[in-house]
Amino acid sequence: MKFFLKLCFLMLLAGSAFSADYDSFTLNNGLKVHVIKTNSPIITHAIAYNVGSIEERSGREGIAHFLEHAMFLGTNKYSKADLSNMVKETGAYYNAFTSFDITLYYFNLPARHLSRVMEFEADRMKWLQLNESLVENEKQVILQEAKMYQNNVYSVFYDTLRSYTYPTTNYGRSLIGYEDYFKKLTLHDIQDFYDTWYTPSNAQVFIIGNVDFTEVRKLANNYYGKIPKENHQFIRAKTTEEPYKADVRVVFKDKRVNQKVITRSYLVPSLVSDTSENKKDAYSLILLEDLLSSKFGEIYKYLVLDKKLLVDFSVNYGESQKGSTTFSFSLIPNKGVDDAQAIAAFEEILNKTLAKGFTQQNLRMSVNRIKDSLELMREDDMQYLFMIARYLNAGLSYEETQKVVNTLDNITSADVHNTYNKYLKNVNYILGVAQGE
Amino acid sequence: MMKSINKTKKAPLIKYSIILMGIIFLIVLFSYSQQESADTSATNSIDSPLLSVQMPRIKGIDNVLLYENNDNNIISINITFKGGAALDSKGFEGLSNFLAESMPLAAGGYSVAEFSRMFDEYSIKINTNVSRDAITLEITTLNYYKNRAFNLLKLILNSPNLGNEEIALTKSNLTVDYNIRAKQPKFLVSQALRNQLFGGHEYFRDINGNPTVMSKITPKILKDFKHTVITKANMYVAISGNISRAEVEKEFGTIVEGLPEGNREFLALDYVQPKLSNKVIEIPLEGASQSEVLIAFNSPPFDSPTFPFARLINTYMGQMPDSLLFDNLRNQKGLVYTVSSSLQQDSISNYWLVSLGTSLDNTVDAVEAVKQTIEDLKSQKYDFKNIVIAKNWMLDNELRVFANNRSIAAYLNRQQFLGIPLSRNAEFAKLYNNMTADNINQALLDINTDNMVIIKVVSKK
Repeated sequence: MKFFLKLCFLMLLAGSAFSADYDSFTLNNGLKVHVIKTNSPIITHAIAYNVGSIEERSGREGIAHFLEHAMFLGTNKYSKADLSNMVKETGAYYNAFTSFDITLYYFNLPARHLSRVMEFEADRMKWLQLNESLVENEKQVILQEAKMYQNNVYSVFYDTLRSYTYPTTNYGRSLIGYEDYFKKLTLHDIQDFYDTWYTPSNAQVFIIGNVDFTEVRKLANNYYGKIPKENHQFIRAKTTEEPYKADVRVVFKDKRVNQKVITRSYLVPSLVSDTSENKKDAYSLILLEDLLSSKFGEIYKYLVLDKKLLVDFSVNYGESQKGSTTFSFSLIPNKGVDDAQAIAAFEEILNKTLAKGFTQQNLRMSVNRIKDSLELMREDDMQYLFMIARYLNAGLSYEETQKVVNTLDNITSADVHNTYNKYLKNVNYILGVAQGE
Repeated sequence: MMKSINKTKKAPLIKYSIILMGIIFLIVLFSYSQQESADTSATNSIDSPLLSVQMPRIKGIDNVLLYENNDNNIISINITFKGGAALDSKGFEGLSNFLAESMPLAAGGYSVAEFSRMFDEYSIKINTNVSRDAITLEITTLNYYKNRAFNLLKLILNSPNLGNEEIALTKSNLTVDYNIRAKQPKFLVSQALRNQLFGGHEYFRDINGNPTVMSKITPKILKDFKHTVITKANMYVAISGNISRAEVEKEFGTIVEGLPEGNREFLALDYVQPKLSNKVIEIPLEGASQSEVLIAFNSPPFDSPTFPFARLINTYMGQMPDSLLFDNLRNQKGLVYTVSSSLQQDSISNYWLVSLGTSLDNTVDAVEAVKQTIEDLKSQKYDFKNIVIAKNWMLDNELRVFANNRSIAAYLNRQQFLGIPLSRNAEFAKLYNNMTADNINQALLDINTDNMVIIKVVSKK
C-alpha cells in the first residue's frame, strides 16, 4: 500500500508530464474545490478536513476518529436512514478515514449522482445532528473496531514503537485512541470538536472522474456556498520533535509474534518543511529511499539473496507528514538469525553502499523508473485523488507540485550523500524489535 | 520505494473462495468477432461504456480475448491456467501457489537479482494469484516497453529457473506469510470452515500450503508440476489496453510456441455437496481481543433458476453499503463492527457465507440476529421496493469493472475461464427488469436455516 501511495504522490509530482484536466476555485466561505477530469463513468467525491488525531487534547485521544464515525449518524435534514437510502439509490460506495493530519470522507458513484452527494456533504459540514443514544451505540462499534485492531499483534507493535519514535508530539499516540479514554467521551466533547474543526475554511473538496467543470462550479456554489463563513483561529498542536538524545532499543515481546521484525527509525524532515533547505533534503530522501530499497540494489542482494540473513528488507520514508517524520529500515530475519547478526550485516552493507556512493546514472535511472511507474498508476482515479488530498491538505499547493519533478531531476548524488550524512550517519535512532516471548 | 515484482497477497478467505459472478457482473453485451469488431451494447444505465471485444487467433490456444483501449499507454495481460490448488497432489498442498511464486523470480538462466532488474528498469509489473482451480499471472506494462514485457513473459512461461535459489527464496517468503497469518482469527476461522464443509476433498485443500510441505519441494518436483499445468490447452488469455489484434497474434504466437500442448480434460471434477449441518465450532485463541464468526448455509447452484434472485437477496442482505444485516446488527444494535454476506460459487460447489467481526461477548447475540434477519426475510417481512433499490445499486456497481485495463482483462478472462457467455449479463438484466416479489420469495424459500455451520473464535482461558 505504501508503495502505491508513494507512486500516486510521485505521479502528482510529475506535473505536466502526467497532468490531468484540472480546475480549482475557492468559495466565499473559504472552501477550496479541486476537480480532475478523467474518462471514468464512476466518479469520486472526497472532502478532506484539515484535522486528525494530532489535534486531540490530552484525555480526548480517539475523538477525531470518533467524530468520523459520528458524521454518518445524521443531520438536521438527513436522518441516518436517509443517508443509507441515498447511498443505495445512487449505486455508491462510501467510507472515510482518519489519520494524524487529515480526516477524509468519500463517495464513489456514477457521475450523474454528484449533486446528491454535494448536497449531503454540505449539509453535514454544518448541520450534524447528534444525540446521546446514537453516540453511545457508536461507542460500542468503535470499541469493537479497536479490539479488532488489537487482534493484529504487529499493529500493537507499531503503535508501541510510535510512542518512542514521537515522544513529545501527538504523532506518538494511538490513532484509534485508548479504550479508557473514548469510553468517557461525551456528546458535548464530540460536538465541540466538530464545531471547532469542521468549517469550510478548514476543508477542501476533491472530485475526479468524467464531470463537467462548469457544472461542478455551479453545484459547489449552490450547495457548499450556502455554508456561512467562520472566522476561527485554529490553534494547532506541536508537530516537531527534537533530535533524539540517545539511541533507544524497544523490545516488544508477545506470544503471538511468530515472525521477528526489526526496525530502525531516524527523525527527518518531511516535504512539508518550512525551510528550503529542509525541502531539498526531503527530495533527496525520496531518492535515497528508492536507491536503498531497490530489490536489485546492493543491500537487498547482500542480505536476502547472498547471505540469506533476511527474508525481506525495506526502507520507508514518511514524506507527507506535516511535522517531523521518519526514515525507517525494516529487517525481517530468517529463522535462526539473531538480532545482532542481522543488524551488524545491515550496517556493514549500508556503510559499504554509501561509501561507494551513487552515480548520476543511478539517480537518473531512479527518476526514470519512477516516471514510468507513475504512468502505470494513472488508471486508479480514487487512490490518485486520495493522494492529492493528502498532499494538498498537508500544505503543498497543486501549482507547487507541478514544479517538484524538476527538483527531483536536479538532485545530485552529492545531495543524496550529504543528506544521508546529515540525518542518518552517526545520528541517534529508535530500534524496535518484535519477538515472541 | 519501487518494487518491480508485486506479488498479490490475498487474504486466505478470499483465496479460498472464488466468487463466481462476483462484484464484476456487467450489463454490457460483448461482441465477439473473428474478423472485425463491432460496438454493441444493451444497458439500462446511461453510464455504461461500450466495449468491443475481439478474439485474436493464436495457434494452440482456444481462449483469447482482447479489448483494444487506446485511452492511455497501458497494457494489461491476464493469463490464467486451469489447475490451482485442486491439482496439488496429496502431501504437497500449496504446490500451485509455490510454483506461481517461484516462476517470476528468475528465468532463462538469469539470476534473481538480474531478472528483477529487468522488470524494474522498464516498469513491468507482474502479480500472481492462485485459487483452487486456477493459476493467474497478471502483467501490466507501457506500450513502449511491450516488446521487453513479451520477452520476459516468454522466459517466465517457457524457462523459469525453478532452481535451488528460487526455491529457497520462495520458501522464505511464503513461510513469513504463513507465520504472520497463522494466529490471525480470520485465517483460523476460514481454515476451520473449509475443513468442516469439505474436509478431505482434494479440491478444497489449503491453497497456501505450510512450512512442512514447503520443505519437501525440490527443483524436480516443481519442474514436473510446471510441465503439467503450464500448457497451451490449459491457457486462457485476456488483454486490455493499447495494443492491436495483429500485435497480439504475432507476439503471443511466439510466446507460447514452446509450451507443451497439455491435456484439456485434466481438471474435470464432479459437484461436491458442502457438509452443512446444525453445528457450532469454537476456535480457542490465546490473546484474542475480538472474535471473527463465519456462518455458512446453503445457496442455489449457479445454473438454478433461483440463482439470479439469490444474488439480489445477497446484495440487499449483506453486500451493498448499509445492507440489511449492517443496519440490523451494527446501526441498530451495535453488535458488530463488520458484517457482510457473499455467495461462494466455485467450479464444483457453492454455499452462502455471512462473515462477522464482533466482540468475544457478542458472538451468540450476533449470530441470533443474523438468523432472525434471514427468518424475517423468509417470512416476507421486507419491502419489495428495497429489492429493486438493491438491484439498481448492483447494476451501477457492476460499472466499476471499467475502472481500468487490469479489471477489464481480469473480468474477461474469468468469464471465459468459467465458460459463461458474456451476453449472460444482459440476459440477467432483462430478467431483473421483469421480476416480481414471487421470484424473490421463491429464492428465499430455498434457504435452509436449520443447517447452518457456525465457526467462531473464542478466548482461550
